[in-house]
Amino acid sequence: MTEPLLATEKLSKNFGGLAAVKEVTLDFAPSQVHAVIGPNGAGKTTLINLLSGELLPSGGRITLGGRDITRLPAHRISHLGIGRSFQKTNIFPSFTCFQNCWLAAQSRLPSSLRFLRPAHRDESVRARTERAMELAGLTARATDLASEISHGEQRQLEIAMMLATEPEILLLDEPMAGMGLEESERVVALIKRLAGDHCVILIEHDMDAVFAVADRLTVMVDGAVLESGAPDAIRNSAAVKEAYLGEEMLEEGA
Amino acid sequence: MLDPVFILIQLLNGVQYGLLLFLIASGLTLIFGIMGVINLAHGSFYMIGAYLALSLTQFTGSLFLAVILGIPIAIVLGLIVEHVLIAHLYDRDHLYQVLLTFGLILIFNELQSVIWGDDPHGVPIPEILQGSLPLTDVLSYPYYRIFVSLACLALAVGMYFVIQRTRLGMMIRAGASNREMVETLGINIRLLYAVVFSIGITLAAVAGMLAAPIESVYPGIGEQVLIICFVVVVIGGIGSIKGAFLGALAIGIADVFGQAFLPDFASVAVYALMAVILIWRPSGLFGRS
Amino acid sequence: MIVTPNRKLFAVIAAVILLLGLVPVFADTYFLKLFTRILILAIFAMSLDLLIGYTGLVSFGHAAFFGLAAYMLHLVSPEYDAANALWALPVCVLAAGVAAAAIGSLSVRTKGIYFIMVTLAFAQMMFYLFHDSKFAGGSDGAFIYVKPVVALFGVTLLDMGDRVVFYYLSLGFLAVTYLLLLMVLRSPFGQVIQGIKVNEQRMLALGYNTYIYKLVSFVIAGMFAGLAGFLFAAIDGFVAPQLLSWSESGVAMMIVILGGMGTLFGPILGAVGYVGLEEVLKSHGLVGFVADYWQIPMGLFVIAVVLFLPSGLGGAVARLVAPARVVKSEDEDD
Repeated sequence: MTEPLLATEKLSKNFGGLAAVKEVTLDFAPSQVHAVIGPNGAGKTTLINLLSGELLPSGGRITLGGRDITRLPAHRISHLGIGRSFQKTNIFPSFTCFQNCWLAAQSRLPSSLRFLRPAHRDESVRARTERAMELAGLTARATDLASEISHGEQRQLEIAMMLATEPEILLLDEPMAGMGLEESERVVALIKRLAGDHCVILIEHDMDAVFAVADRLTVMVDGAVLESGAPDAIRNSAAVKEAYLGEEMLEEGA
Repeated sequence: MLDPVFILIQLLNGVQYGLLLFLIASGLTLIFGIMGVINLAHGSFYMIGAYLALSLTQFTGSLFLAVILGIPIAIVLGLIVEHVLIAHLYDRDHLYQVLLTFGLILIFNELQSVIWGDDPHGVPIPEILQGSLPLTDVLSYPYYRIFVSLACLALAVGMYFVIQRTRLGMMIRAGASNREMVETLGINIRLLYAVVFSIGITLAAVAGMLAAPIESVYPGIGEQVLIICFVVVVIGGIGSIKGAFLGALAIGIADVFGQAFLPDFASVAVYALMAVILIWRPSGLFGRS
Repeated sequence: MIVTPNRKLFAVIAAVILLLGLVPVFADTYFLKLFTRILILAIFAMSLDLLIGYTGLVSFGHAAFFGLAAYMLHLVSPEYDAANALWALPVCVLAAGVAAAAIGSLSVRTKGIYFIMVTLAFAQMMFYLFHDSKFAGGSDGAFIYVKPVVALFGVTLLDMGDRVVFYYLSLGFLAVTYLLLLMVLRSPFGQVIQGIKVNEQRMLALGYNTYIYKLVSFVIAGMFAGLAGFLFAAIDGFVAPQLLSWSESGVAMMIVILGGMGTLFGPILGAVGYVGLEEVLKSHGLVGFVADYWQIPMGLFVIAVVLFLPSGLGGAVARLVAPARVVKSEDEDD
């Protein structure tokens, strides 16, 4: 197995008295899709928020390529090559799709403290913006306001914005939630394509999708890791079956 | 200079001023915390209270009667202002709340000038509270200030019981900690807002009435006290009564000692204190971040 | 992200500026001074629009930088001689910028109602600094006896004591302010602050250190407010603590809203509207006894704007000349 890119060590997060994430120790390898599944309230989104720097852990460590990044703020984490999409669509509704992606792409400039030249003359940012929109299948929507496109398209925009920051590690928080069948298939194909040279951490409820793309599965229950391993091993794990995966879900996934 | 009795007097003055500020700031912080409204005109109600004390004392001959008559006037005024104007501001950008209540200040100030004129007035201290408690041969402490401190304390304790022990208090606590939650509890939110606003501005008006005999009554008293109360709320944390209490005492004492020892910088000192607290805790001592 | 006006809107703005250029031809001294004040307040409010309308920072202490720069002109002016604007202006603007950096570094850490109160409180602190201390006339204010001049190698090029010269100078500064701010808003920096206004948390997730951008925006706005303050001190030859007062900040905010926030040109309309209305309401000849109580109709007007005209005059104009969405990013370049 390759060296892990991103790793957590006894990572915990408490909200008041509630332990949302309990001593999670995981590692994420490059060029691999690592799906994290579990029932609602298992702490999956909190885990993503910890990895992306949006929340500060209550305990434990996060390392990136051996470097401790536990207490870095979200904007620093982003520049280390960790990009994320949000479960609850989190876009700029009053801007066009193009402008949404532009802001994402522009974040890769060494600094945006530049005041004189019009932003839209920057060809490198433009190229990155257009590429991200194309990957997410949104080119036709470039000039539409983000508030006016369909819910599924907003989900695509969410992914396009993440891609425009050109991350090495993708944190995808239920990217397919609220998407139609066709759109979902497109995203599955996109994840497969990205998996070649990205580390993908995927939270998803759709088991078909999960088993279609995941190289590794982690099951979380009540904030803790129940089991982590290859999809087949998870599928056959008695503990997982009992705690989470219903029999019929497994049938469907097979 | 550093006579312990002198220090004690300053301390008593600071506490008295702080308690008065608490009455005003607690209303302000409740209106922020529960209704999400920034009410610039809050200071105007302090001013209105002071002028009500002036007129009603002249009319009845007694400050106590003036306060008793003034309170229902303030409550009704609060209900009217809430219903006619403030009700349009819920869920609107703070910017518009600032502007509308700014317009309200212009109107109140001009009305004050029309009704009472621009000269400063004094309000006599009630006879039974005249005189001072002698502390040493030369230094003494006025009875009226002691009375003001005790009255404010009594109101503060009363507020504590209302908030901790009554159904209204339960709603206020729920509203201050989570505004959305109140709506799901099946509480009549509009009624709660009207009551909170009215109580809040009545507290400010009562503070104005009590302060009238200490400070003379003059145009613009409302604004000065408003901005100081903003500082109190910033220090204490929005929506926190406990924070407002401690913040008000801190500011009251800092201001009085500033006036006594660094008269040129007293006004600045209060804001410097705020700056230090902001560096340390950006959302105040008891604020939710 | 409405940044570049389309040709129609640009034509309207150019026409407004041209019309303002004709004012000295027709106006007597009183009106000339009045319109100079309007231009200066328009610069002041425009700088505030950068914060309120584009960065999402509702500053209620903007007069602090306006007033500070005005006082700086008093402080750098020789008592019986004219200050040279070529260095006095940069000094005043820089002073406002430094103050904005200091106050902003703390205020920008806070959000929402906090930010409003904290900026107000810091401005009030500056107010008392000038009000309670003796060094610049205290609460009485101070005079600038000789208006600044623009001089190069000892040759006076422009004398701000000349009302017409001063008017055109102010108009020129207004046009320059508008174009510079427009440029800033189109730049990468401008895109970022507009993103912060809409969704700051998302900007953080995208990797922007929003604190820095908000602070820089605060400083830029403070410096343009300083420019306005410099001009204001020069027109009146008098500075007083009221220039830093919270009601001055409130007036600037009112002008921004009346003009239409987030339009940049709106403050010009707002300044004309607000100052014009104030003059009318204060005039016994026009409104009779009401002039004695002019703050009451003004207060009612402010309340009416909030309730019935929240997008301001500028919003109405923008809708009139560009009925649909105003600009799309793709054609922002041409």
